[in-house]
Parts: sequence; structure tokens; C-alpha cells
Amino acid sequence: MGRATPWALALGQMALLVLLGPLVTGVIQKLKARLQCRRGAGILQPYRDLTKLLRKGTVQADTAGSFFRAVPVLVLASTCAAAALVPVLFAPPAAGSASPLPLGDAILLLGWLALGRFLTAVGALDAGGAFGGMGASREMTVATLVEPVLMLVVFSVSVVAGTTDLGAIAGHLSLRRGSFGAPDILALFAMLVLLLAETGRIPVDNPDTHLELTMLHEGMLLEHSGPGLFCLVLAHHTKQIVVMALVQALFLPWIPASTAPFALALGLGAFAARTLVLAIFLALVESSYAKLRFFRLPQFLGIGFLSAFLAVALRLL
Amino acid sequence: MALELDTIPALSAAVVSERLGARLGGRVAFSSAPRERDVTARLERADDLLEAVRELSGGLGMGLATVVATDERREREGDFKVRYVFEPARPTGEPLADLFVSVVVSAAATRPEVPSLTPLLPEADWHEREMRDLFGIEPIGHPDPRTLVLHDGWPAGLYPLRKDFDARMQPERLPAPEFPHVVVEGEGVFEIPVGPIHAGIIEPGHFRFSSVGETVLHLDARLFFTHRGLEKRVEGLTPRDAFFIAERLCGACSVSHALAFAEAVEQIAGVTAPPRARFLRVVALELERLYNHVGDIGNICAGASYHAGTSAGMRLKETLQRENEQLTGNRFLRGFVVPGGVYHDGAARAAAIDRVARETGDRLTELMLALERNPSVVDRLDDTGILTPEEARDLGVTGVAARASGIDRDARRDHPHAAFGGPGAVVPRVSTDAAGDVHARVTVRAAEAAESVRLLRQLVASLPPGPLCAPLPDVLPAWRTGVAVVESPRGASIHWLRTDGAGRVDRYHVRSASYANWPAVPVAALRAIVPDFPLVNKSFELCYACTDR
Repeated sequence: MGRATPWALALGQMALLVLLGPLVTGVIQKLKARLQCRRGAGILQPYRDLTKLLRKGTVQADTAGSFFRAVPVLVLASTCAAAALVPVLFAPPAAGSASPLPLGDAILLLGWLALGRFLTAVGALDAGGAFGGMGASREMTVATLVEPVLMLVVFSVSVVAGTTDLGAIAGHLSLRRGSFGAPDILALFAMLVLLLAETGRIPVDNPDTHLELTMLHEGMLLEHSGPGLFCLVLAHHTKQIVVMALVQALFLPWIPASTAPFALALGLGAFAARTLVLAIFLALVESSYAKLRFFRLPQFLGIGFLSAFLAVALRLL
Repeated sequence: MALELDTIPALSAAVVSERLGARLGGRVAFSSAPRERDVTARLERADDLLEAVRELSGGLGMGLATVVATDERREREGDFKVRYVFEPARPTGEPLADLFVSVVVSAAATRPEVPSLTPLLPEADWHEREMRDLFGIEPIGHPDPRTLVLHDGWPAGLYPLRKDFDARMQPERLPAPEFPHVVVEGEGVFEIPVGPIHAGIIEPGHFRFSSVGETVLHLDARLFFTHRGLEKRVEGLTPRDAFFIAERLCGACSVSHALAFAEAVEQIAGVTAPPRARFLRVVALELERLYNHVGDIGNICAGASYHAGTSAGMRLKETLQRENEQLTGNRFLRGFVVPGGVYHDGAARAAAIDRVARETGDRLTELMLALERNPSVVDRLDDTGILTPEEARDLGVTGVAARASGIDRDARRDHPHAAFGGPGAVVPRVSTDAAGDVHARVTVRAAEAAESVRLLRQLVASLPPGPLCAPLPDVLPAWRTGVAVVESPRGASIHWLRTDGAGRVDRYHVRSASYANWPAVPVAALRAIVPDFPLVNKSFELCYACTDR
């Protein structure tokens, strides 16, 4: 076994997630278009949009401070940091040895994601536009409902593995295939609710809208342009694939335990297949439902909280 | 008030003249104009206006159709005239009398003033502000001193619709304060300025929300960014030339505007379109209504972020617009209606229209079932943006918006035009809903679209033979007035046209359906949260171009 260092592997997985993020969005968009009897743009369209943004100049509001320019880079950086913490290709069972993901655990991952969200909102407020403030206020309202539930879901699984290290959790769960109890089902259900919210999709947010007044996440990006917008859009693609990878690590962890090239290829194939399943789930939901009335969101996300809470309770009792 | 409601007599020119004459103590002169059956009441004193309007709106249950000001300083009496055109407005479930009562008052050339009707009739608000902007006629006692059509920086004392204003001039833009609007103050109150440039490709309008959190406290709308001065532009043109401008007032109601203008011209010329043309005009009108309504239902789905519905609506609209192009060479059906009749004979496309109409009807039924069975969609539509029947009546709302608030009025029935009147008249079924919310406006639209499908299939199967067009005189009679109402997809469009001494256009005024309905949007928006405003707005689906003109 050519001993790749854990560091190199973690960074390699991070790079993979950042590179594949836009492709996942492209696939979801294509699936949605087909479900709505449209032809739709090619699955590579998000990459084209990103390169277009890189070539464009930046326009900044007069009211924006210097911090505004730093926001996109910081958001992208924190999201990439989160991407380094999820197991994708391999996850050895935690045999007491060095952790496969030496950079941090699930709580840090949630922290990085929360930091990205916080920075995006601060940037939107800093620009001084009405839509940015509106988007930020809504995003934060949703965040207060989403983040605690996400913690609960992670805890409900980590009490089984006895660790909050995602690599170790995934490795541990990989060992006991087939045992999928009531707490797992409840937690997975909560996680799927959160997946819709965290990826900014219907019924929580509508990523395709041009109606400024209805926007959540898009509203916060309105004042950004050019390379800055590139960073934020790429960060959003990355966040989406990270959350999808998190779902897989917690609930569908059939991840090879070895770092041999063949095993890694197998891991990549398995990851692609599972991601496709989640993409189909998102596309189906987006094509079947209208967006919820904003004040109904607490009810919807409350269902997620309830199932996550029950999952934890069942585990501990 | 209830007592008065019960005692409304059957309206006719004779009844109106008698009641109005008695109320004003004889200080009024009557004539039968613009049409034989209409009444024009010339008041001796402008001060009697409020009294006359109390009689018409309170006693006789009439509503304000439009207000037309004219600059007659170069004519015999050397003054400004303001015509307040009323029509029967209290729904009875039966066809209302096809009657216009024009109350005419004179305003002095030196300092034109008339009493304001707005405190009495909220529906007069925009008309009077427009008259103040474009003619400099001051409505004394109007509660809103802000301009409507002219925006900040337009020089004071420059009135574009006066005859001595040269439309070719380029007035200097003066420094001026930003959009004066109602400022709401208090802890946590924010202003959200939206537009006039939007993220999507839509027409320009500026909306200023005052909100606490997501709750709308007040909404000020500023329109007229696309004011092109079309009414000024057509002055001095022959009605034949002016027709092409009237047809292009806006895109989505091209047939309605073309037809209303054509009927006004025909009235002046004393010409009636031949039967085949009248029936073909209804075909065009209903095709226009159908493609608008299915497209609007799709757009409402976009407002609720229901993608499947949006795509379905777009698909149906596209199919219909392709058929429009086959029929007339234009996706908006332009070039179909001409003064005197129609230009195209639909016979060759009759089978295709029948098929497209039938398929559209079937697909629309499926779409509506999908909407009604999807709780996530119904939850967005129900109770959102309610416009109560009282508000709808006070603001003079028309079309789908009025019928969804329980007001049973439809110009196809109440002011029969094209083949909706006369021998073999086409009788449309009028659909209403009392709820007044977005859901009601969707339901009424769907029912009307289904009715259009029925009418289209019935019409193309039984077109009467005959010529397509009646000859119009080369020069129209001088100093004649025509008024025509057409039920456009958005409601009743009223066109008022007068010829000058050479038979050319002296004054042309359009009150589009959108113009009548815009003031209702900020009212309905108060019963929705900020992120639901696009949905409320789309449920009215008003046009900016034919409001701004």
C-alpha cells in the first residue's frame, strides 16, 4: 500500500468536492428541466457560468465597505475548509490509529458552514441594499431553525460511534451494514428536510427565481458581481455537495476502508451513485411542490427538529 | 345607502336626464352624444359637479368609466373642458344598460380649476392627477398633491397635452427631490425600494414598501416610466394612421386596443363592420384572452415557485401564440383587426383553431386539477392578497380582478361590441368568485379561459358569409366623438376619440383595464407579506405600457 498521508488524502477529497460541486448543480438543473418537459441546459452549464463570472469586472455599491470585497473569498475559504472534513472516498474503521480526516470533526464542519453563512449575511448587510438585508434576515431566520437540528442529527449518529469524527463515524457505520433502526430512519428523515433547506431549494428557497422580493440566498448575492460572485456561487455549489456528502457519511456510509487505487475508484463510483440518488430526490421535490409561504417554514423545519429529537431520544433511552 | 340601492331605476337616457335635471334645478343642458342612446350633460356651473356625481353614483348606481380633458382654447368657447364619463356599475346579474353619461364642465383658460371628485369617488384619483399633470387643470380638493405621469425634474408649468405644447421639444431636466412617497416611521420600520429596473425582464415600475419584518405596512407604486406620449402623438394624424399606434399601445392586449379604436372610428364614420368581420373579431379577441389567461396562470405558478405549473403554462401559451402567427403573421395577433372590419379571413385556419382550442382546454383542465390537488400550491394562493368587494367597487376595478371580488361585470355583456351584440349575438358566460384572493383570480381566469375555448369552437364552426371589411370614407366627419369599450384580457378598455375640423384626430384618450386596476394592487398587497407580493402582483397581471401610454 503506497502510504498516502492522511493530509494529502483529506486535501484531495476537498479538491474533488470543490471541482464536482458545480456538476451536481448542473445535473439537478438538467433533471428538473426534464421533469418539467423542457430540454434544459447541459450539465456543464454551471462551469460555463462560473468561467463567465471570472472574466467579468466588479461593480460595487457606493455604500459598501472594504470588508464587502473580502467576504466572497472568506466564504469560499470557510466552505472549502468544511469540504475537507467529510469522508468521500475512503473511511477506515477507527481502530484507535490516526484519524483518516486529521483536520477536524463534525462539529467543526457545522461551524465552518455556519461561519460561511454568517459571513455571507454580513456581506449582504454591508452592501447597504434593501434586498441584501432582506435576504440576510430571512437566511438567519432559517439558520436558527436549521443549525440546531443539524447538530441533533449529528449527535444522534455520533452517540452510536462514540465520536464526532466523521471519518470514524462513517468507518464505524460501514462495519455494521444492514442494521438500520428507527432512530436512523428518523434522523435520515430530519436530514433530508435539512438538505432542502441547506441547499436553498424548494420548498424553502427557490434558486431559479428572478423575483427579488421572494429571495433568500440569492438576495444576499445580488450586490456581488464578477470574481466576487464567482466565489460565492462556487461556495454555494460546494456547500451543496458537502451537505450531500454529510448525509452519505451519516446514513449511507458504504465507503471503502482502503486507500488502494482500486478501492478509491470504487469509493468514487459509490459516491457518484449516492449523490445522483440525492440529486434525483432534490429534483423531484423541486418539481412537485410550490415554495412554502415564508411563515410556514418554522412548521416545516419543526418536523425536522421533532424527528431529530426523537432520534436522539431513542438512542439514549 | 341600502335604501338607495333598492330604488335604482332601470337606467336609460331619459331616466338619467330627468333625475339629473331635477337634482341640479335645471342648470344643465342635455344632448344625445356621443352615441344616440347616450347622454351628455353640460353643466352650467362647475360647482354643480359634485351634486351631479352624487346623483349619478349614489342615486343611479353608476361608476366612473373615464375622465377626458380637452384643450379647447382655440375653439369657440376658448376654455378647457373636462368630461366625466359614467357607466352603469351596479351589478344585477343581468346585462347592464349599454349607456354612457358624460358630465361636461368648463374650466377657465387662464386658471383652469374644477372641483375634485376623489374625496367622493376614490376611482377618480389617478384620472384627476393625470389631468393636472398633462393639462394643468387643478382638481380643487384632491387629497394627493403628487404628480402621477410626470416624474421629478419635469419643468413646472409645462403641460404636454395642451395644444400649444410642441411634442418635439426636449425639456430640460431640473434638479428635484427623489420620489415623494408616504414615509412610515417607527421602531423596526424599513423601506424596501424595488425597481424600476428589476432582476427579470419585466416592464419598469417602482414599488416602495414600508415594512416591519415581512409585514407590509404601506406600499407606494410609481409607474409611467414608459410614458411615450402616444395620445399626443396621434393628434393631427388621420384615424387610419393613428390606428397603428393604437394597436401598439401594448403587446398583450393588441387586439383589444385595435378593436376599441376601430369601433370608435366606425362610430364616427357611421359605418358598421360586416357580420363576418364582427364574428372574426370575436375569434381574435377570444384567442387573445385565451393565450393571456393560460400564460397568466403559468406566471402565477412562477410567483408561487411551482415549476411544473410554470412550464405547463408557458407551453400552452407558446402553442397558442404559434397559432396566432399562423393566423395573422404576428404572435400578438396584430394586423388582424382593421378599421371597418378585419384584414384576414380565418376560414383557412378554422380547423386548426378548433384543434388548438380543444387541446388547450383539455391541458388547462389537467393543469388546474394538478394545482387544486397540490396542497403546497393551494396554501400559497388561498387568502393571499385579498381585495374586498367594497374596495374593488370604490376603486373602479375591472376585469378578472373585479369578477374575482364578486363584481359581476363584463364589457362583453354590458357594452356589447363586435359580435357580442346585434343579430346572432355571441353570449359569454360570466364567471365570478367572491373570495377576492389570489386563488379566486386564478379560478376566474381558468373559468374564462374554458369559456373562451367554448366560444372559439362555436365561432369557427359557424362564421357567417360575407365581406371582411366595410369601406370607410377617406375623410372622417369633423368634430365627432366616438367612444368604445372592449373587454380585454385584463378588463374593460375604454377608448375615447374625437375628430377635428379636418376629420383628423383632435383628442384620443385611452383608459386601459390596467390603468383602472393598478390602484388596487397596493391595497391587496397589504394583505400579504413581502415575499408574497410578486404572487399578488402576478395575480392581477397588469400591463405597464398601456397604463403609461
